[in-house]
Amino acid sequence: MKNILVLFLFFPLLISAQNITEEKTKQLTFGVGVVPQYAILNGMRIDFDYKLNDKNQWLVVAPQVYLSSDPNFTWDYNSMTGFGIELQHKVFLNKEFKTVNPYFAYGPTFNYFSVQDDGLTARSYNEDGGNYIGLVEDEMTTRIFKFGGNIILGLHYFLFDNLYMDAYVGTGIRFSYDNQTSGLHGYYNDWWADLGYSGTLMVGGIRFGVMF
Amino acid sequence: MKKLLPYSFLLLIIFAAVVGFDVLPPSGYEPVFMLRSEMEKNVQLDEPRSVKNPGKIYLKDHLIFINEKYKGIHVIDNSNPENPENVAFVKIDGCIDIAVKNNVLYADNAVDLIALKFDENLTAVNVVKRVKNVFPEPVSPDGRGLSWQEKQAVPDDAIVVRWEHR
Repeated sequence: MKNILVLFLFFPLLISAQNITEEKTKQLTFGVGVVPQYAILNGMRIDFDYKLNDKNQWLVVAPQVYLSSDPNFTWDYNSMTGFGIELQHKVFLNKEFKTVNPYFAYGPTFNYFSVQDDGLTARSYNEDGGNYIGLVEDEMTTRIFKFGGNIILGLHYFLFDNLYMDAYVGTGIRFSYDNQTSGLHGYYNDWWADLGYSGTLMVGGIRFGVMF
Repeated sequence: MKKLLPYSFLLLIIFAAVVGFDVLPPSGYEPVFMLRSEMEKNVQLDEPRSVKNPGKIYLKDHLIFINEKYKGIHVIDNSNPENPENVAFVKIDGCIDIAVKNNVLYADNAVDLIALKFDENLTAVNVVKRVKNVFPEPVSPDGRGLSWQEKQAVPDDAIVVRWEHR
């Protein structure tokens, strides 16, 4: 068990070590990948990678779509649709590709969500000559706009010829606004994975894709 | 078996933390709001009405003031103690306390403190002074304040003037 754990922890280093003798240059200019963990958040993200120059710097354009028609274990809203886009300037530390390629990337991100959920809405009524406001439960639509940016470090492994796996970690910041409240609010901003999260967060994940 | 007990307890705590429970029972009251401009405008002298939910009572000369909780103040003419006469009602939203000094009636108008003066014949009342936002918003009879859902649902300048049974 201990050996398996050690092997697991040092797997990237073992592969890196192997690379030194298996250096291979790849002339690649375009890539397309998916980030499977977005499915946990009812989303789908496809990354399009475009090579910018000979210094092995890339532009990543990552459109996202989100769709949920039922409450799930993460959120209890009635339904949700959304889209987003993330742009990254990705700089590989090796000017030419090897089997394992460390990189850093940074760039802005934007998301829009339209969430239908049961909530309270204000209803005005007249009573005894005065105009009062009561609250009634109703399904309401909240439109959330989330801006931010990420800085990540990653390792880009070529698993086979053109198929790659990309593991990355980093940090980011988000600012969210919605059409129901002014400024920051609680319901969609309870923790870092919430649709309307505002604050800093750790980002990380795995990508799979192909490069041509 | 003894060893299992703490582990079971730990699992229960983890389960509760992950799943989550509503610790507090839902409140039996819901807030009623007014826009500040409406609340200030709604302090008026009105026709006498029956006492339904009395609060504090204040005696000043031949007048008795009885607070109608969160609604206003009944004005009772007690010139003839054998036959007190309900002569007027002052609508003051969010009012639960009253005091009188030098012919000026002081009352809380939700979060504001107001000073009122009647004319000699008790046919009109004027707000001679208003000190804004000196009191906290009233809490419900079961002791709760506004939830964040309630806060986000109302306009920014809305003020809680009373709580009503659901």
